[in-house]
Amino acid sequence: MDALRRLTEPTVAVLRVLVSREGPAWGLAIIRESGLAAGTVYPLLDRLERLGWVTSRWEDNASRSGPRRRFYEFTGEGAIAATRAIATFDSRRRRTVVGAAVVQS
Amino acid sequence: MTLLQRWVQSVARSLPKDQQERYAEQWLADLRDAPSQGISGRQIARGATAFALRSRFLDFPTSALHAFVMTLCVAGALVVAAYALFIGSYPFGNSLPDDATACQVAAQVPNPGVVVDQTTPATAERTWIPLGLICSVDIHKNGHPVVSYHQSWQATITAFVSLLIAAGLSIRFAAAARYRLFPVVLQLRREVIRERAHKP
Repeated sequence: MDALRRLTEPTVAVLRVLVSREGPAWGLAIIRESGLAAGTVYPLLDRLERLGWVTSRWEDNASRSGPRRRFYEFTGEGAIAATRAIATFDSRRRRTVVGAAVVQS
Repeated sequence: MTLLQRWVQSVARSLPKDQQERYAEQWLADLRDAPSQGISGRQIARGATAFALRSRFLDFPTSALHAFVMTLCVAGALVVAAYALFIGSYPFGNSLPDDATACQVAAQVPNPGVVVDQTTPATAERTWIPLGLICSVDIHKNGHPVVSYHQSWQATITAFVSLLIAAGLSIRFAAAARYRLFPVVLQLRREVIRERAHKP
């Protein structure tokens, strides 16, 4: 599994949605729950998948006809890395906010 | 099949072959189910388009050598494009006062400070290609370059192709800056803020 080169707010938002889920998450549900645009979420999921943080698979619901939905979930290492990444992002943001407040004062 | 469905299918076809089927099906399913999630089909289509554009223009190998070569290519293409635009922008009507002046400037760029005489025609020793013009420069007896010029469709095509290459490379370069350079700058800025915060 490769490391994320940059940890942006949208990336963390998608990670949070995936972490909050117990099972696999449908792409469209990630878009809805993260509040991000589809144009942001699709590339993020693709990047996370290429880095080995998440895997995706087709739904296996035989009762549904037509095109299949795609579900995403963390790999074992991905789940650990995501939790760590969210914590890092949160602490970094707190420090930046505190630092900026001190500079202003 | 609706217009949006056709659109996402076309967009999926622009992806690399191994991804086309997957994303076509995924986006069609998302389009079908989007209303039930309170998401508009247009947003899915926009997302698909953004994804395709991103994978075409923004996601590329990031080795140091690649970045270096890319930077050189962008710089070269921008120089050619700037040269074509600002010195020989004749077809756009915003050129220097006249063709001869444009050619004189074109001759002076590689010979700074040299006085250029204008006569036509001249035997070309060196040729420059500003947009839509061929400027021929000959070294005169007294040492002054002499310029002549004529319009040329080959020159126009060369200049336009240079501009297109420059534009395409610039997008990639901007992407590289956005994704590789800005995070470094932001990190540095954070460090500075943190350092200031710790100063007594």
